[in-house]
Amino acid sequence: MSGTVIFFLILYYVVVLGIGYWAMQRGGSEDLEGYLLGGRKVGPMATALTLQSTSMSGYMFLGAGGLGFAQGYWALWFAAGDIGGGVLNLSVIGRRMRKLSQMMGALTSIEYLEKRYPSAAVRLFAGVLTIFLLGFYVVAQLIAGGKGMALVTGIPYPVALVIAVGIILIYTFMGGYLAVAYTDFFQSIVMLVGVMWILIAALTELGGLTSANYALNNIDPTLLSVWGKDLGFQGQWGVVAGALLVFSVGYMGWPHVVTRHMAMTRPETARRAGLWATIWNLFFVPAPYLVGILAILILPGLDDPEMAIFRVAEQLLPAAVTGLVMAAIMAAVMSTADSLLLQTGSIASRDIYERFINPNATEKQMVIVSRALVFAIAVVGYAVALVEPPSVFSIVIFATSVLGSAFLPAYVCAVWWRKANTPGALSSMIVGAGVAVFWEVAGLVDTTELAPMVTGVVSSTVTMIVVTLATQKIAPVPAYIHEVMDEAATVGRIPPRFLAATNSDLTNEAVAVDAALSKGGQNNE
Amino acid sequence: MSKLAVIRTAVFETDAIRLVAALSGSSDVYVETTQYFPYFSFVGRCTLPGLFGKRQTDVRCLIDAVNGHGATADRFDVDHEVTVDSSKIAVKLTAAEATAAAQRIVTHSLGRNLRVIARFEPDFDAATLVYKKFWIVGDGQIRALVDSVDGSMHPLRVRAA
Repeated sequence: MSGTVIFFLILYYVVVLGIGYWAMQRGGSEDLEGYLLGGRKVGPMATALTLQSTSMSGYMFLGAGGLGFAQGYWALWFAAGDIGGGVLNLSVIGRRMRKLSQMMGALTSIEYLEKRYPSAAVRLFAGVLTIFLLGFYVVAQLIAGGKGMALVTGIPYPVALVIAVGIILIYTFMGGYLAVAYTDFFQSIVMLVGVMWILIAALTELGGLTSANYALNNIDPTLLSVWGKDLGFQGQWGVVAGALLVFSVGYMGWPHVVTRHMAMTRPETARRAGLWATIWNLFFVPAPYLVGILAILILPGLDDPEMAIFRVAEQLLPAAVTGLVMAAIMAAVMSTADSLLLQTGSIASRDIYERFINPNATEKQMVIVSRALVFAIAVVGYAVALVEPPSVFSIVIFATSVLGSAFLPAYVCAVWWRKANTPGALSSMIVGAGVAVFWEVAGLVDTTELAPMVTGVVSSTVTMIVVTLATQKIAPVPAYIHEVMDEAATVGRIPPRFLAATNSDLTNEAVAVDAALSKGGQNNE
Repeated sequence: MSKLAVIRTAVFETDAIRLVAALSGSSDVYVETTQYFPYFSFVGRCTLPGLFGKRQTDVRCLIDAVNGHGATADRFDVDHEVTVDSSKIAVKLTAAEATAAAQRIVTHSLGRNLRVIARFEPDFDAATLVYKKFWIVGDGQIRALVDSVDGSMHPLRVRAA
């Protein structure tokens, strides 16, 4: 890597740090309080791009490119699901989830599950499973960070990995200026521009997409097929369905994504943010896969397919642009790792430690538990990433498939099905997770031609329905949950534009006022 | 009759009628009554971590005194109003319960927004009880409460006469 690349990489971080510092100082302490604690939020566009920059992890820059390089156009099945995933997610559970969690007073997605399906076992199982799988996901980010750092700086991978892990831990424990929304917004713009720049440079290098496709056809016509290299997935609709589902409906089962629904500001902001996110996805999501496909022609001797995007950037872009783009990619990886670690730490301290081990835990004890778990994940992750690093793609797909299989029916039924009860949800989570893990570990994908995501989601959904219906009499849904679900759905016959203007933050007040007014003007005290 | 500390009104009766009329398309909208909703208000300081050291910032938090739910809040001014007791919603939470909820919500909000695992050490002054006025507006077909501070609204059930 040239000195110019490293110079611009450092320059990028100085700019990001400067933006964060400015954002924290802007207008003195009042605006800072407004941002951190009060009602002044960033707008829909910044909200959307902030979410995208933190959710587009190392997978997009290593896994997606690597898949495109290995399988050709078949990889775009994953992109197709991913493009619509955000809007689907928001449409199916977004608004109702936001309102229900507000009414039930749940702060974390796991706490929400326990309040909707009242049982300590629900929270314990969901918490432990989520910690385990998010830990996997973090390992993928560590590997991505280490590989990227090694390439950018030229230092050996083991040392680069230590540096990447160290920076991620500092980021998570210190937070502050690097983690405010404005820096995420800036990063998302640089990521989008950077990836598009790499794609356009690759297309220019190859004389356009048609020319590139002819060249691919000359190498191996099956690379242009929707069935993968050597038609390896021909007729395997179960595997194709898995590729489509994993990043579309699969999102609905991710506790760390569901948490974002709970943190949404106003419903109208969420709708507009969804629009911006979709526009961003349309441009951003297919690009890494396409760059990976084009890398087959640009870098035919590439030894590590997951480095396709980094290597194409290094080969085709001016050194200054390469530095900026790589810095943005590294920042995105660290930002995602930081978000995942924060979620994991929060679940460990609040949903497990405070809930089951020490109900009177102090803030200091909770922070110690969170940090200890994060540190343990970093150490184990480092060991795994160093000794025998699995591909970023396989880790992310595994974790996503199991999370989606376990939690998708539980979260969707929580907002849409009044009968959904605790035995149904608990058994659905256990069966979904168990089937997805078993399918993956036993290697049943090859023999059955069904992806773990497909079998996992089908089995957890069937379990949810059957067990719920079978246990209605012995485990009825509490009346207060019926009430909040009715309230979340609608209140009487209301004109659509009136409903659209409803502020769900006022739901609890509305319920209490309703109750008071129904007393017919009696003294409420 | 009671004298209440009420968060300063910015959306008045005529504004509330206009807001609901615009959305419902009805010209027969009127204010049926007002309701005062109780919140425990907390003011204090907390510590924020940063790359260049820690800094202190003010913290404000409102806890719904009926359900115990809450949110961090912007600064607000308070006026004192005298009202009939039937317009007050009953307080169901104790100050101690509200304080615990406030600690939890402030810590959660800061951790989420700063994306950091750190101690914020929120230090609150004693809780004070404040009320927010809601306009209950309707036309017989629809009914809504309108927030007197920011004009946001929420539908209410329409009951048979």
